[in-house]
Amino acid sequence: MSAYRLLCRFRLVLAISSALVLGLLAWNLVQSRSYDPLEATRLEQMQLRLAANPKDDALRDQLRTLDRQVRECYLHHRRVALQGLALLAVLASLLALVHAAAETLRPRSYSAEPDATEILAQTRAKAAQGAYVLATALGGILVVLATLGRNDPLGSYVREGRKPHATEAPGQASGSAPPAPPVAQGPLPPADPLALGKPPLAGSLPATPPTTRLEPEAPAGAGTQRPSSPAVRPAPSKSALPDLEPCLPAGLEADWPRFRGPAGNGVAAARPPLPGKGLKVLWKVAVPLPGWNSPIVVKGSVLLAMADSTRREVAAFDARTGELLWRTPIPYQGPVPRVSQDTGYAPSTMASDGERAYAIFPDGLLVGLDLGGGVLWTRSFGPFENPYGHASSLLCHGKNVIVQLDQGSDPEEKKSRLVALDGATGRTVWQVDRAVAASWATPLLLRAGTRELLVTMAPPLVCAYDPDTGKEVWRVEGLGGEPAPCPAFDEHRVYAGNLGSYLFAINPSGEGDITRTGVLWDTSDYLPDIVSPLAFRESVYLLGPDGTLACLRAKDGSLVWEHRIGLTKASPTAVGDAIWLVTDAGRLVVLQPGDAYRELGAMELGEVVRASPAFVGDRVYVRGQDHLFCLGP
Amino acid sequence: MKRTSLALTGLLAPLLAMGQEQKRQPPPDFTSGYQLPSPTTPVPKEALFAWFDVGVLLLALVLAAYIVLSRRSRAWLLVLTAFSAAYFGFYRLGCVCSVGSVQNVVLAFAEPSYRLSLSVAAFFLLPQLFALFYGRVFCSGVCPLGAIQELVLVKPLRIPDWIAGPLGLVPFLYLGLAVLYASSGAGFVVCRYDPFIALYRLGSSPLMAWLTGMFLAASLFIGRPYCRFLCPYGALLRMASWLASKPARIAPAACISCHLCAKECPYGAILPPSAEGDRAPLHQLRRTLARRLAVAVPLVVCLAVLGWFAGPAMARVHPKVTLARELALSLDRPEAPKTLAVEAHRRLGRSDEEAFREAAAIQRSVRFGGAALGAWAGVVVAAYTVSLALRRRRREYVAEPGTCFACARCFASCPVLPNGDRS
Repeated sequence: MSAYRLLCRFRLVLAISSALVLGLLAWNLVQSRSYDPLEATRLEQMQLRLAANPKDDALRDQLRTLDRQVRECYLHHRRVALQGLALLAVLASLLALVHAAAETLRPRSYSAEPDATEILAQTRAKAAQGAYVLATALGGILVVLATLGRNDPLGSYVREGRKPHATEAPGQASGSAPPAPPVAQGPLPPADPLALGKPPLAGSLPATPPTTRLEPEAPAGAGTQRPSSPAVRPAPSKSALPDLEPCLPAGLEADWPRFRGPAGNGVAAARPPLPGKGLKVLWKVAVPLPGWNSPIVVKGSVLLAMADSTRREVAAFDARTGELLWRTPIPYQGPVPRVSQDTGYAPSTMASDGERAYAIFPDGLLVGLDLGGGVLWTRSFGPFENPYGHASSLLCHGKNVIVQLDQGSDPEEKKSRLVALDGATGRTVWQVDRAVAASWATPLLLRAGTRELLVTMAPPLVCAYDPDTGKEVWRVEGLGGEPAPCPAFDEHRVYAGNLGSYLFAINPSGEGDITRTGVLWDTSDYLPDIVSPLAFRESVYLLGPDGTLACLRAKDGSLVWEHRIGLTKASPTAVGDAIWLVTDAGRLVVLQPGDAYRELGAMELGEVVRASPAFVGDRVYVRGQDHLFCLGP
Repeated sequence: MKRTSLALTGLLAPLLAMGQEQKRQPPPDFTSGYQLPSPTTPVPKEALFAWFDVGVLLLALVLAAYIVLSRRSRAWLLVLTAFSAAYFGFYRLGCVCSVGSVQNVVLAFAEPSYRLSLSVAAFFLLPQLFALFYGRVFCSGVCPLGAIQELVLVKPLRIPDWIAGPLGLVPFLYLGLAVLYASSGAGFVVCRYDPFIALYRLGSSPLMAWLTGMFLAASLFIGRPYCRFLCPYGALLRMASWLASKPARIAPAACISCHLCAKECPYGAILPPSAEGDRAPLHQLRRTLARRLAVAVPLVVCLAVLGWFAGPAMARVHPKVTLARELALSLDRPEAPKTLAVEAHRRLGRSDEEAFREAAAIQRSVRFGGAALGAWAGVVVAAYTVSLALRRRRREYVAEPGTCFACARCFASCPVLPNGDRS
């Protein structure tokens, strides 16, 4: 049998198979309609009956059973549809390829055709007319556009120099303005037919970029976003910028008792040697269970929380030798929470006040342990309405442990809260309900002048509280996206922001709504999605999801330099006079802060690293995917 | 054949329906680690991968030129086509592609602070360099957009030349529009409305899903509809191919004018040899030419003027102009609900006057751009009509280098052997 015939038969088989699959899909579609839980009339009738007789338990059980059946059927049909479509796509692709191959082998008969040049002149004349028709159509389109341009609401402001009214305050913008007098006007103008619909995608371009120093081969694919100037506001009417200081836990200044160090801002007082200048792996131990939380180091022990879908534990290792000191299981008490792979089952970093250690897990279980591993108390705050799983880390203030429990998608539902618990007993000291949506950021503690502030991030607010009472001190509105980075601060400013929103530089000396008076500058470029910013030596370092490390001037947010360092989830830390960070690939890099990207040293750990390292004394503790490393001289 | 076509057509309907249905729901929370592909812009690649792509592009161009000009094998060209669809399309998600690179190049000229990466410049230049020598070998089996159209063409329906010819001018107009919007900072319209992006990225907005479905459906019966009637990069390749020194030749030896190649070509790219009776009297041709040249000047001027007046409306697609219009609307109609962009603008305390000034500057620049676009459209139409009036002498069937996609279909149908014999 010739190859052509074979291909023809194969093509026929594929066509029949595709038709069969198509038929089955159609049948499945018809079947699924009757099981659509939104349209099942039986279900609706039972719901109505139950509403009329709420105490009818038998009816309630019947309804639950039917509801479950309907849902299972619906999901089954949906699964079948998706699998069928995938199979159909494969068959269709094969069919197209086989058909193309068959066409190349199709035998062609030789036969002379009469020359077609007699009609060539007519064709050319018609083609020319067609071209003029096209030109006329284009002219018509331009006339329509020109007409549309005349009725432009922008026209009077642009052509005639008409001044806009005074801009309204944010409170009025949110709908709390007094009712406007009734105005007899027609319907609003129709949606602009020329608008490209959605807000600009990442492929659209701001119009006025500053001069930036880019690396020669910064791969800017079609549609890559370009930087725009940060919006610098006029100096606020209040007094000069305050002096900010960290709130260091007493007796733990040299330890690493929480995420990003004792101050929570990623600045360490440690002095390890640089890679290539004495830094080496002192010990490396296997971590029994996975977890993306960062290690904490307190009183000579390195503490980790770890969990998978069946087990979870808290473990302590000797900081000097790496010896496992204790492992305390924390059994699941209810259903295992649904988390994303990036979050894992133990994303939140522990915290310690020097006497006790605290850990929280995505199901909302918060556990207090003594430093010997004994469980002192537990509190359960879950389950959470959180798409990726709860990941905010803990912090201690005095003898209290503070936990940010933000969840939900609608801030108005007020499902979120900020809670302070007594470390010894786990009892609630204070609690604040917050009108914010889900967040994965960890609060920041700092001192501004004489008052202490607890700065939190959750859309739509960057909000500061009194850590002793939970009373709100100030707020900045305008935060969006899905905050996972933590706020940071330097000597005078607080920095808070995340991808899909802005990075705000805030003067924290105000009170109330300081959106218009307290924000010194903001930028929407180089924003991080997970990595917390580092404010150090008059610069702010941001690490974006594409692995670009950007250095901005703290004064006005303008770009100093940017460099593609590689995908990174761990937050950078200022250690002494250098900046340390670890990429996802396990490359430990040390940079010199300044007006250009300069590496002082690098070291390969040979393992995926997503947790931020801890720095104590002359040692660095890095948690990899499978091991805990201790680096030192 | 018809049954096959009908069956294939029917396959698209549930795909589109399911695509619509899926897009009504928000993306689910995947616990299996599945990453939902971005329907908009893929994550920028490391520099090394960008250069690897350039290497693959160069290799594919060399192979395409070799297969078309030396091996003259449609089968091997199909293999290369499938590879290009798989690599540049599904694996690299259609970005960076040469079709969109035009805009990057334009922006690099228009905006001094924008630096064009060398890999993107390579994607822009390499196909054109090959076109200057060998014709549209890039279109033959390398471009992912052309590849998918080539693979799904099952029953080509021949579009009359007098329709296909004028429609073939649209890519030039689209090129002008893309240049205008890229240079003014309004956006990359070619990328935003890539008709096959929903297929290559396995997900998109409903509008783009429908666009992909429509183009795929059209590609079943119309040869390469996007390439012939829309592709702006194809307009550049067409012009470069006119200068090709070694384009594809249909008959390997002397043509016997059997017309089989012209019957086989689904793109109408093969021109017959000119015969004695073909030519109209010289004075008639001169009159036609003079008439068309006389129409050319007022056509260009008229379209340029219309383009000038259409500038403000064309500028509305720019995000800053959109914001300024919404601000103006909110000032004129305070009781109307405000858009999110206006609310954000107000909350951040930004100046309305500055927004209006920026919008005015953009409108002014787009006016000039609109006038240039109108003039360009006039030049294109005029040049086309004038070219129709010119006489060309051809001794054999030739593939017009500008419109020939070097698909190698005509090679198989040509009965002439390399030694001059007939098969």
